[in-house]
Amino acid sequence: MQPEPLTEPLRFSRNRRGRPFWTFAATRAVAVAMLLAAIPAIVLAASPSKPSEYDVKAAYLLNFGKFVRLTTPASPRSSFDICTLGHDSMDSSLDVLAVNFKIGDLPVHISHLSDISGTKFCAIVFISATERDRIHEDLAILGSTDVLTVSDAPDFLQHGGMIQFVLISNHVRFAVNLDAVSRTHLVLSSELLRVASSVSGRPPTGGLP
Amino acid sequence: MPSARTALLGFAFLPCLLQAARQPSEKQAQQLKSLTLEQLGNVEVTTQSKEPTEVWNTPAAIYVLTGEDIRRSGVTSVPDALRLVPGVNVFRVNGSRNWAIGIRGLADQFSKYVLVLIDGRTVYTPLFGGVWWTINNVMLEDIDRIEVIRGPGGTIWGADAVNGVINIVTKHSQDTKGALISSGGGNVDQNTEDLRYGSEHQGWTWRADAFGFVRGPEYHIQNQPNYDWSRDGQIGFRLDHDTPSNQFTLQGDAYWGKFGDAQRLSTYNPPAAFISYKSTNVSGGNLRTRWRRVFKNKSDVYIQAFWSHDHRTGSNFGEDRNTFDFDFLHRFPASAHQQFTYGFGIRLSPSTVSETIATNVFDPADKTDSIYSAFVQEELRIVPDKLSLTIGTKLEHNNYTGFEYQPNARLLFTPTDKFSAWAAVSRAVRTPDRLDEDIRVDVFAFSPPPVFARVVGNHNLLPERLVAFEGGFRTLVHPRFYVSASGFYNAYRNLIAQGALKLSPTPTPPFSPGTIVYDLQFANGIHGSTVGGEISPDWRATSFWRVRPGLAYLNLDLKDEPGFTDTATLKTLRGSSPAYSAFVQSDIDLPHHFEFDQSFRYVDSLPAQSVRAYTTADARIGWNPTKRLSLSLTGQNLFQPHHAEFGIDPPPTVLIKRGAYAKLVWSY
Repeated sequence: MQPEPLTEPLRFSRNRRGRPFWTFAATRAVAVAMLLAAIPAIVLAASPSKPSEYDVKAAYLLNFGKFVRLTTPASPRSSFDICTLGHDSMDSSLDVLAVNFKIGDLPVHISHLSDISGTKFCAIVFISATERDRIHEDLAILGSTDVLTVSDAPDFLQHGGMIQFVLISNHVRFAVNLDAVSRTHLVLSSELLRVASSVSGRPPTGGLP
Repeated sequence: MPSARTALLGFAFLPCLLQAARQPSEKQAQQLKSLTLEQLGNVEVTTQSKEPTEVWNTPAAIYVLTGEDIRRSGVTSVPDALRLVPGVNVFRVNGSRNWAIGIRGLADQFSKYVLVLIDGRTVYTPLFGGVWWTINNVMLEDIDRIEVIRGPGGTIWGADAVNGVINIVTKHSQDTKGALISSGGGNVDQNTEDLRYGSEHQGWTWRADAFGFVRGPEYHIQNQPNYDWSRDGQIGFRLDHDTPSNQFTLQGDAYWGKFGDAQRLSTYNPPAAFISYKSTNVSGGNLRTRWRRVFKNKSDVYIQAFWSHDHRTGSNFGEDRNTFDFDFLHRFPASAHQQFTYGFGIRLSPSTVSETIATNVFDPADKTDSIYSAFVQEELRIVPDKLSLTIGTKLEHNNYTGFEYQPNARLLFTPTDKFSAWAAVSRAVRTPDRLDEDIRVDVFAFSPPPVFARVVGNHNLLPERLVAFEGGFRTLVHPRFYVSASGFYNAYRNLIAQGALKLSPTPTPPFSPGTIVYDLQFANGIHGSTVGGEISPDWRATSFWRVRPGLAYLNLDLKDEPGFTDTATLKTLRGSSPAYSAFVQSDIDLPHHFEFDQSFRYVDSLPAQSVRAYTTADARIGWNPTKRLSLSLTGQNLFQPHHAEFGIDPPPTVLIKRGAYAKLVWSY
């Protein structure tokens, strides 16, 4: 490291001691005032409390079931299965919220899977961001089956996922990739598409209004 | 002082009292089920303390400052935002000069050990191997995040990423649609105006923005003129097109600025020194494009090219520089357990220094700096998802020292999804720059008889070298409490220093006869080590109160290389890095959309800069009455009317003022 080289490098008058430019009491007063100000702020703030991002994502997952249809007749089901792949806070949020929830007249059943092979019977799969590099593979396996794939992993849509949760200014929203949906017999209702923060890709021809 | 102690105690116990009563109730969560999709999108949520996944799996001391962190802190520039990263030393020298910024020590106005990128475009200048912070402004509302890697980034980023890398990432144009107007003013940041508009058309998203600021001088003692004002204006645009397998970006900026300055200059005839208050004019622009393609076999290819032009004229010198850069990267899985990344790059930077005073010369005046580089890296998954080893190296050819190699090895251990640890060994190199090699400055010392010191560059300098041993861990102790810590041992060699004064034999014109000249040449004169660490907990005390403390420690043990006798640079280096620095940030969300944010900081003394240790704080009150409007009032450096942060030439030291500003942001 060199001293500032374009002017004088020899610091003849460098080592003058600085005088104290502030009074001790004034600093203390400002510091105490700032610390004390935080206390009533915290008390005031105590009234509202906000739900966690995973509670809202779980609520979305349950609701998505109402806006997805199959264009081919499917084998009859006894429950609407929502599965999670990988482990994160979605597991507990979903378990709590899914109690007594119904989609149409089907009760909702939650499964927590550690392996992609268990997803055959799922209607919706939430892939955790902890799956990381396996996501591309997981989606390749799921891609042709009629399962709605949802995740909050970054770049999920680019890997071929259908719905990706995004956080915009502390609000949970979702983006949709219609190209991934068109490869299956699933169709997303226009009501869902209208609320999405962004929709990419082309819808399948002859889709539902 | 009793009341301060009581306040601190009350502060500490309050969250415990409130915590039990303030958890979001299960009943509230159940109510979410009955909301429509649209209503769910309007619910404000609290997020987990954990860092984004990218950080969790990075075997390096990375810290991410989000755009939201920057907004809540009330800072008005990127360097001010960097104060909130433990391990980064930020010193404001005055109102218009370059900041002295360093990572893990060795900060200086012409700091050469930190690489800075804006969206992947290097903004470091080969003139002095550092960054002109004053011309590389980014509109704060456009910043998505700032990633700070403390520690060498030589393998991927190249030479000069010795102590760290700062990557400023702007928002994708998809996230900046609509109009935004931000207007603010105060006593120091006198006027700041930001305008932006973005939109989308058939899959192409774009934005255009314009911003400018007028910044007033800081505090001057002893009747020195208030010369350190600054004015700057910038326009820019960004265009993106993303499809599931392709991402394309085109962006550019143009800037104009004028900065007040004071420079001590010398003349040959008559032999004298004087202070010039001539202002510095700057202008320039850049254009950058990037294309990324993802393939079905999980591999991806990344191509980037940019051009930048920078022009500067000041009282001591002028420079015109163009930079052309092309980079290519390919990443592919070689097997289930291995991923390879390789790439190459070319950077050419022709420049011309124009002489504005005869005593300051760069010889040669024209020079083209060139860097040709290639790198290769392998990631080996020893135990899938639990243990991985990454090894790689960069090989570069530059026009100063020829070939340089920068290898590194990193280990990442992630036994659970709540704990990750890493260790790394790396070698990084800083090549000499134009200042080290080509400069010739004649400085008048005193008379009679006229005595000058001639500071001269050295064309035979070796590169400065660092071998770093680092390690760290991250853990989510509790869903609301996250801790990240790192430590390092940096061994330096061949650090460039000012040599001893050598009497020059009979000086020739332009010196007048009878002048005595002492030569001062730069040489690779210093070696040694630094040791230290950083710790940054993140505590979400309640759903509306987040506390983030940070602490950094640094111990310098530098000495002259055997045979090198001058101690001026050694004393400056030893005394210009704070041993301890700490900060605490507190963000509180109040009812009726109010926000109350505070940040307290302590910086240890810098004896070589004659700067005492200081504690100060910023505070901000924000109000977001509607989705479209937000107002805020921010106070900065509140504890003292003014305080010193770094020395300056010509003296006396300029003191940083207490300030306040109000801001209004309207978006549509």
